[in-house]
Amino acid sequence: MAERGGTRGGFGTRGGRGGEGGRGRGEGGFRGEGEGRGRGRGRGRRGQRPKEDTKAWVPVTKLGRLVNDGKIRTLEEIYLFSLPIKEADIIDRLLPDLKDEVLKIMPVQKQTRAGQRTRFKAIVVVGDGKGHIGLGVKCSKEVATAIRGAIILAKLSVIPVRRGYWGNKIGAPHTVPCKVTGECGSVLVRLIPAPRGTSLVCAPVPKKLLQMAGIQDCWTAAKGCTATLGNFAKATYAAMAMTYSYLTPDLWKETVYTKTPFQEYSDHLANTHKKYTVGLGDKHYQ
Amino acid sequence: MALLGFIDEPKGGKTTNDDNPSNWTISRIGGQAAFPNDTISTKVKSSLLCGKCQKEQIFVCQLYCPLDGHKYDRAMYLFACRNPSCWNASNSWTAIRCQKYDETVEEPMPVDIESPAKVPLSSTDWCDDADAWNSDDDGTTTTTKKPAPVPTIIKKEIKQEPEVMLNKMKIEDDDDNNESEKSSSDEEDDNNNNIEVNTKKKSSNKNVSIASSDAFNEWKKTNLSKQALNISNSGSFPFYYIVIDDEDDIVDEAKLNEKRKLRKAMKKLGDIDEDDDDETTKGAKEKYEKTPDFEHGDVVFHRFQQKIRYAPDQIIRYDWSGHPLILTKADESTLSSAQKCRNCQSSCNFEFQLMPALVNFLKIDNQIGLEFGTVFVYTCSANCWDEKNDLYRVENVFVQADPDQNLFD
Repeated sequence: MAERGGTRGGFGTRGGRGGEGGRGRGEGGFRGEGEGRGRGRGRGRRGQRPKEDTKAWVPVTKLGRLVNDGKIRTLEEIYLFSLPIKEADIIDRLLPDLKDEVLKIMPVQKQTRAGQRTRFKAIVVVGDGKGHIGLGVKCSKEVATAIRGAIILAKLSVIPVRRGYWGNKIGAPHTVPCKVTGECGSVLVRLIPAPRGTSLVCAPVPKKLLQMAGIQDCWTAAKGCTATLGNFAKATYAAMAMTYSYLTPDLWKETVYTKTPFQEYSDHLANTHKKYTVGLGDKHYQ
Repeated sequence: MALLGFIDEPKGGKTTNDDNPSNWTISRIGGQAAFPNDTISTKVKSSLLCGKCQKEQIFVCQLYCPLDGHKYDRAMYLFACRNPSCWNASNSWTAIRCQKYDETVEEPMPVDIESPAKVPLSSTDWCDDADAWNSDDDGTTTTTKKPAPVPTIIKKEIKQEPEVMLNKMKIEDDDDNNESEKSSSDEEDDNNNNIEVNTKKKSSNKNVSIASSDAFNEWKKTNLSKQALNISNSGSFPFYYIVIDDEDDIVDEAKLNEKRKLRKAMKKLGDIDEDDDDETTKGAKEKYEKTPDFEHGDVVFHRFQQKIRYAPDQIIRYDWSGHPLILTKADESTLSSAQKCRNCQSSCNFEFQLMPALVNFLKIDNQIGLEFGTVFVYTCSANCWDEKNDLYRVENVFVQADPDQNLFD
């Protein structure tokens, strides 16, 4: 393990580096205005912090801790419970075979008093080919930083994509379940179910997105200025997000579920909560 | 100029030369507190009771943090209540400060390392806007440290049901949602989140369906069952030492490493033209995007993450009379300006904070024993101390909960 040069001494008012004297009795706390060569208190043994590459993920949010401990096993549980995902490592842990691809890097310019300032905008799409897709856009002074930032944002925006059939329900779902449309800016993208074997009939940008989501056949129609790649990609992403928002006829049947003991108990205390629950085919809801 | 603390070896690590758990001039977490002398530990027990449930508190960490210009050895101790209903509450934590006069301290030469000479404003005024790209990722722009009143907005709640759970899909009930919205506004004061649910035209329903909330409740019952507390047994957290490093050094080093790695990765990506003249005309159509558009919409937490991303495993952040790194939106009034020293009535200033990564190490029997978002400790700016009478002094603590804690309750 690489040594980090930290000390076991104390904290202090200013960061005079007690790590300097990491030998012998070592340095104590750091001092305020002044050099850090205070008294030799504390343990000046050099710390052993691991190298960059071998760092394990240390979760910072509660959801991250739950994922790390294995209490949440699939991404679908997070979607079901409507929990916001704030750490990209959560997605890494739950979708280990996620791939990312850079759609485009373009320079954008801003006029300042001192001339023009160019920054690079990276658009990255992540997907596992099994019904999850994410799109990230990041602007930065350097290309590499923009790409890295965009990948993280893409991971934070991973959504599930519902796939269905065009006709006979034979085999695995291969296309969008219904006609869905998504808009961003002036661009409108419409995804239409297609029979098996059609493959993706669309422009290269949505093709990349649909491929990474795991949709095998689709017809598309696009409107607006599709040359603005950012909007085009976002519109396609929005269209795919709609697949799970759409209430298709096979979801019409109301589900009948048995009362859990928890529910029975809560029925007794029904005076505090006005919660409507349906149980055992009870039609008197609402 | 902040100092960061990281987890070091556990008790009895490899180099056992000066492994002395009763040394009070060492920074560590877990185990039992080591006071300068034994009379303190007996006397202090009376104040180590949780402000909410009056049970005994457990020792969390101690920091050795002498101040410059004072001939004192100084240490801070933090205690918290293990009761799950007291987590995330400021009055269930206690901070103790102990000092001991030490004559052997050599007063450091008054080196004039003042803050760098203030550059006269006029010379940089003209290109004031040049770096105003409003992005904090590069770290070159100075972010305002004052907690700006940024509302935490949950932009949209796209109702999503996974394929597996489709058979549980239910018809929404409007009243149910109103109920939950009301309850979220009656949060405790510690949860200073302003959650506004904005609906976009796509997702017109902002309800969480009954099935998913029921499923969540059941999941919570099985997975988040807080273990029965044995307060009677003096449980203690696992003992680890803390290694301290300077934030600036770490950040610089990490940035260099990152640049090197990214450059290598870039070569693999192949030819992506950095200055492609054809693209500039097309690129002009692409607008510059100021703020990154992230799904969860929690700007304050995003800024927090950006700040710690070069050292995400930091557990302590020490910045005497600096600014705390807030985790969630906090009212100005509850922070520094309202804090007064209990003993001498002078104002308090921020000293250090515990970071959320520390929760992973506060485990008893491999279960999380204490949870919090971040914990700020404010201490007397005058560092008041009565040499003759005092054994310890109590300081102020402010706790912020995890940004999504209300969803798990």
